[in-house]
Amino acid sequence: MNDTVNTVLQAKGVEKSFQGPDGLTIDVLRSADLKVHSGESLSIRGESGSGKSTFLNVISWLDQPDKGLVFWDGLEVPALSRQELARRRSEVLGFVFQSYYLMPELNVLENVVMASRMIRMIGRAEWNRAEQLLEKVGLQERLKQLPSKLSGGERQRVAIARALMNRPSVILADEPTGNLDEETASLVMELLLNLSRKEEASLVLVTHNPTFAARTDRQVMLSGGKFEEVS
Amino acid sequence: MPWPLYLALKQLFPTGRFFSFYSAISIVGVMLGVMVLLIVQTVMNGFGDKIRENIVARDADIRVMGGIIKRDEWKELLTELEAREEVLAATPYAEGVVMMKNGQVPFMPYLRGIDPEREGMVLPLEKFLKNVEVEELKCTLDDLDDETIILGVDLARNLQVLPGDVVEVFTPLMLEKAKQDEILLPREMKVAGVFRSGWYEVDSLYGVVTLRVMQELYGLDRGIHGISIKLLDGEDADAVSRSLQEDYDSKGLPLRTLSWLKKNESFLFFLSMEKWVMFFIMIFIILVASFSIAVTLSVSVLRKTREIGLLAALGARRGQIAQTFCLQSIAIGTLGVTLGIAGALLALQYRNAVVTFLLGIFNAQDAFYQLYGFEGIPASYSMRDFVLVSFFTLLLTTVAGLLPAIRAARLKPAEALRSE
Repeated sequence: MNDTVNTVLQAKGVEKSFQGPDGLTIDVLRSADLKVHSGESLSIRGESGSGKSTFLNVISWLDQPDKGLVFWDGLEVPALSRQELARRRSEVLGFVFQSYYLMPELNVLENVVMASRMIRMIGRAEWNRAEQLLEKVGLQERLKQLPSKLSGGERQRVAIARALMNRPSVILADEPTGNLDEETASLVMELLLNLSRKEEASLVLVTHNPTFAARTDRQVMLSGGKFEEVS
Repeated sequence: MPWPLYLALKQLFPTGRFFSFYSAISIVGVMLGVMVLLIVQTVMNGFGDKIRENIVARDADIRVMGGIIKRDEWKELLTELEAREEVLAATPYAEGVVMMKNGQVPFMPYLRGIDPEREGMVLPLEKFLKNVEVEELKCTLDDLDDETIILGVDLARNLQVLPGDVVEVFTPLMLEKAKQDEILLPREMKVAGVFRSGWYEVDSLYGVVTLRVMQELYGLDRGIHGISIKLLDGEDADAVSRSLQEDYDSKGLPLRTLSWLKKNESFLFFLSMEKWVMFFIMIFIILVASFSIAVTLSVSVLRKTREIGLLAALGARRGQIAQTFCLQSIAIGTLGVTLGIAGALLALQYRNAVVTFLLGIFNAQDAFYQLYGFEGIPASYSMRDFVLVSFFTLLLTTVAGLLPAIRAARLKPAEALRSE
């Protein structure tokens, strides 16, 4: 596989530590290396507090590493200007969080379109794209509903549509089923895997659930601040 | 529409609701502040204008004075003044203190000698005569001759005289005669009627006679004490007064000009200070409203911490996040100012009905209007006041939004997303 062409996301020697409540330094990531290839789905598992979410924050540059490099579509992230970084982030990455994080004052359709609104003036094409995505996640009847009127599963489906809105290279999903019951979680996971594949976006899935992890193309385990491939 | 503005408006007016409760409270706070401030300023302007009008009505725009101005001199002066393009009319006068008696009731009012033909062009004496409510006390300037006197309504009341009664007038000239052991004979004047200016100090301290009578009483021969000048509308009384003074000084004439503005300088300064003090006090209402905006937005930043993290994840820059909150305070300020102006205009339009209604509850309409001498609550709209109030309010509400906006922009995205 040609690395330069196919690697959409790469962490190289990433280190990150935090100050604990007792004043001691906790090394969460220790020279962590990870490559995500175009179109692949990858699951990250690990114990609670092992640094999975920290890694997602660092690789999306929402938090900066103490050391190491991060690349998006081959671009070295620390070299980007603030403006370029913000624009690239919205173009390259899509986020799905455990707690959905929908804006309560916007309806379902407006929440999805918001992702595009951040980077360009929107027009009919964006509204159509959002409607199509919401149809794909089965919410075509609920476009005008406020998030407060939706169930947890429905909210997460809106979040998935929003993550795909800008046709990102990678979807970063942090425990997307953590707040859902087993049946809904399974449906949401199915949707996430299928849609990311159809939209040709890579998927980085942080999960505790081995069943869901097993459904991804590749699995890694974060342990001791480093990634280990799970065969 | 840039997304920070879109989101700011959405947070103030969420989809599916007309407005959010918190934004409504903030907007109403600003609206009330602006409304009260504008109403107070406009009514204060109205009172100020009315008082100025009354001062001008009492004093004329400019007076030219010079001890005793001899007959030949003042005729020429009058002709010169009337020829000036800023001057609408001018009239000679003689004025001084006299002692007036009716039986055993003495008073020391001012007596003003006027030219009945000219006086009406400079001072609204005819209007003051018509202001008298009791028909029996009324008269016209035609009733004024060398045997009659017109008294201020309160002076007549104090002297206990009615039209047709006779008052005795003693002048300082008589004191001179007394020194020379001449017999003091007062001038007897028949009361023709009364006038009412609405100013107690005028109505209780002034009587009017013909110029000729005053010249005789004060021994002026045919001289006068001064000339009252009425300027054309829009002329600056101070500037014309200064120009006249320079003219007279350059000609070496011992004359002094005095504009109504200069004469009442202290009082007008007090009026203007009173207005600014009211403005200063009232601006605190807007300060309180701005503080409530700052609190509302700070709480909003706290409530929306995770959304702020989300915005960063979606590609927002710090400056744009700050703009979202700052624009909310600007929108609150703009709406508050707009509604405040509309409310103030509406309240001012119906001010008399409202005040009459309120006074009616206490049965105090007559006492209120008599006290102020106005027919209603005066109002004078000043564009400068409206612009100033709007500018200050927008400035304060914008500043109020800055603090929470900066706080939101400083949040670290990863920490914001983790927050509970």
